[in-house]
Amino acid sequence: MSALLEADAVTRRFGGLTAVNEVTFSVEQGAAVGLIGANGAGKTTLFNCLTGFDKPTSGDVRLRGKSLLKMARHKVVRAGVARTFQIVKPFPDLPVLANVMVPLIAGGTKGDLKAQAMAVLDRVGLAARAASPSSQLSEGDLKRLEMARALATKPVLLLLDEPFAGLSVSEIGVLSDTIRQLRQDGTTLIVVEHKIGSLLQLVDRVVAMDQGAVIADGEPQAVMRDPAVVTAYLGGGAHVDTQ
Amino acid sequence: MTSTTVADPAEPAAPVAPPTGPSRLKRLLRPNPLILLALPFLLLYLPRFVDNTTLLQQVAVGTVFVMFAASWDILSGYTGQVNFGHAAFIGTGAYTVALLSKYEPGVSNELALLAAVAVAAALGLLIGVPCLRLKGPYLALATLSVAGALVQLTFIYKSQTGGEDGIAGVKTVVDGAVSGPVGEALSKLVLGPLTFGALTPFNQYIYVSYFVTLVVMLLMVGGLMALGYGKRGLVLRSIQQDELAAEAAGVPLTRYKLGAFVLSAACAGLAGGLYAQVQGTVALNLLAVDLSLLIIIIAAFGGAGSIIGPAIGAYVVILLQNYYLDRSTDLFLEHPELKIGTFALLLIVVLIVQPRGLVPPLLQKLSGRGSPSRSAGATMAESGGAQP
Repeated sequence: MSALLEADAVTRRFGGLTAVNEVTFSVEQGAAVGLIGANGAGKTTLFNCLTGFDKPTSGDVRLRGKSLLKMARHKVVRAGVARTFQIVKPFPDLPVLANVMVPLIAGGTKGDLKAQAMAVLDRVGLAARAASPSSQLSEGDLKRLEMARALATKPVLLLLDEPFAGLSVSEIGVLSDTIRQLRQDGTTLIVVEHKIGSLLQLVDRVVAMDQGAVIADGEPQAVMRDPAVVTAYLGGGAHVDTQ
Repeated sequence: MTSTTVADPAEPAAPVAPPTGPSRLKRLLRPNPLILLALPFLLLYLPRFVDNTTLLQQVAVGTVFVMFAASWDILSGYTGQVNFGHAAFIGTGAYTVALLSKYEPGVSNELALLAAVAVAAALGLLIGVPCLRLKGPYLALATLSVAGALVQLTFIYKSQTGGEDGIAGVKTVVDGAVSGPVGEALSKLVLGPLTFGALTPFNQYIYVSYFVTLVVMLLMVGGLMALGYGKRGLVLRSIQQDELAAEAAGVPLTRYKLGAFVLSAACAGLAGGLYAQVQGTVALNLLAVDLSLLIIIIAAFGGAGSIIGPAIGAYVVILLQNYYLDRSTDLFLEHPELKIGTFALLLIVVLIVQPRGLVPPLLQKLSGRGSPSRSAGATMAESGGAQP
């Protein structure tokens, strides 16, 4: 199968700082890729470059061979790349259902928008809260809403920015089930996450970054045993418990 | 509305959360259509029961201010781009009509209004593009200074615009090929043809302008409400809430923000042009900071982001200001500048008591939507506002 997303020598500099340095990798259709790295490794900058929210200084990002760099943000979404935000960004004054209707309207969806929005909420397990103002949701539900709003853009590729940050263990468990379900539904996933243990149960490939560069890429267990990854995370002489 | 389809999640056993304490949610509820229909009829038949022409004249001024405030609201109340120089669009429309009347008297009133809309919309586009990148106080200053620049422009072209004196002798609504007959027909319908025929020409003019402004206002406010409470209104609200999140949801930000700017300007231009045709004169007060501020006060007082709130707020504030304050105290007659201060104080009190403005909460009470017994499904059906 050909690559769905290709990052080709993506570099992003902020003045003298090179946040992302010549990152090249590709994601196959249907894959679930974890993107890990210590704070400041360049994950979020890369994430923003992949989703059109930031422009690489050099390099290219292609979806099915078509460059995303010249596209406006909403065009990238229309092309099929959706994202969530690490710090959730609901439309707080709008009811949960209306939050999900916005992407449906923006995408020019025809038919009964409310029913379709309910169907999306149902996919993330938020149907019962449809009428609540989103300002009243718990952190876990806000993460679901974030995901529902991204799903409502009907993405082929969904990028999740630290979906587990700020959640309790039980909330992580429920959200993991939701994410697994998305994968089974055929959505290709890229997940940035610090909670390695939870992440490894979701993905079939891990890309590790350090100081703006990819230092390991492959099977989750292999990447986690990679000496470069262990050093980057914990310094020399440690090992990472992936359970 | 199909509350059955939305109240049909795949897990029917799941407890449906009651819409408790949804003060913010409620703001999105559509006002009761019966109330919305009652208001126009009340205004339409008001001249039948009130024969005080001075009061009717002030109601007509209020009607024009409804258009000023509602056109401000679709940009600032909905997308959150707060415009501190709305008078720029109003004055542009008014001066377009006045200059056409002065130099091209052959141009019909209706064509002049179209020109006012076009020129104001063009100005909206011109200002809107650079303002796309501005937010908060910076946007406020930019819009404020545009109106200020236009005031200076009238001084530079004093021989054409009359400078401080403005332009008098603008063709009035009764001269309009459409507005004259429509106003007259409505006057006769409401008052009776005999009563209308017996009026002095000046009083006839008051009734005609009353009805013409009312018809244009109802069309404009009706259109803006249909937009605001529909799908596009929901998208505009999402922009106000969080621009980045709206973009992540696939909203074409530039198109919506600029569209709101141009629509707001076009409606303000129409209202300003009509005002010139009602008053027969234009003056600098139509470009002044005072006017821009009064519109913001009206909108916040009535409830920004609801169209109907600023619309009703305009009647309350204008009638209070022009009819009662002017007649009840010499203080305000001698010091007219105190009026805007008084309203600013009143607004502060209102916003402390009711931050959402006065009208939306009131309409909810009247619509009986405060009751917690309403099902979540029914609330939902009303809240999203985007039934295709």
